[in-house]
Amino acid sequence: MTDYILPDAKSVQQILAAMYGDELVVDVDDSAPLAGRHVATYVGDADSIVALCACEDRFVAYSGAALTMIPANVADEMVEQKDLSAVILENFHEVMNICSRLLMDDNSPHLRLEKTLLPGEADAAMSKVTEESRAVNLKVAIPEYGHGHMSFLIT
Amino acid sequence: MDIVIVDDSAAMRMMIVRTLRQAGFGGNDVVQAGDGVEALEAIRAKTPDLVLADWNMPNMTGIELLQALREEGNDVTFGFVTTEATSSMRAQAREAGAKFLISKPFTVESFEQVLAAVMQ
Repeated sequence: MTDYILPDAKSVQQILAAMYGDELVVDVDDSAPLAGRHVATYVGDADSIVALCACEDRFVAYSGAALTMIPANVADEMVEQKDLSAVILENFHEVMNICSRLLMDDNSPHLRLEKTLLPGEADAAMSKVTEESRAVNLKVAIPEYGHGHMSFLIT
Repeated sequence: MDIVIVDDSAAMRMMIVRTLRQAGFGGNDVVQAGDGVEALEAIRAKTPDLVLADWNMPNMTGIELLQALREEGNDVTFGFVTTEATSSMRAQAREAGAKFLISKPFTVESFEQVLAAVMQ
């Protein structure tokens, strides 16, 4: 059995486009820092963290808002105020749940979304990232909303 | 037709209701539940024609819900709408008595194809 899958821009585009439309664009972009992000933790069947997805405020706001058609200007305002609503955060949790599919297939071990953490809560989870971790850093443009960065990390 | 939709995400429940409507299964009586425990109560009370359930949920998972229903002798038509899409999970769902598994993210077409076959 191989290890967990590190997604690429193409696979991320395909799964997010199924939710947000074919105009969604994903590019590799290593320019954005990981600090201060929301973090989704994924656990294997032994309940230990095996992968993370770290997302900027903007990606959280836009992906969460677009899922239930909350207007883009409302999402922008929440980003400006650094105050994402409970609905946005709950929707983002479901987006991260769907993204679990990107990390496994029939030949990989099984994993599932454990939880999504606010930026101030994510230090312990991010400490799982070491020099041996595999990572991909992406810039995602959600149609009608805007772009934000997301990074997948296999610990 | 009475349908119970079980998912811990309110957004996902809303999307499933919308997709059912777009797939030609609108106008049904839909009850929503946030986890397996809530769903079990709703199903016992309502005797639905169809249950659409997520797999990973707090308190009681979708597979635990299905197993509990079958242990009670309830053979309601049950399908998963879930991110658990590997062949081993599909096999586990089938063995437990699920009629189908629709993977997230889903399309209107996937609902049309699966439900048209199952609900004949």
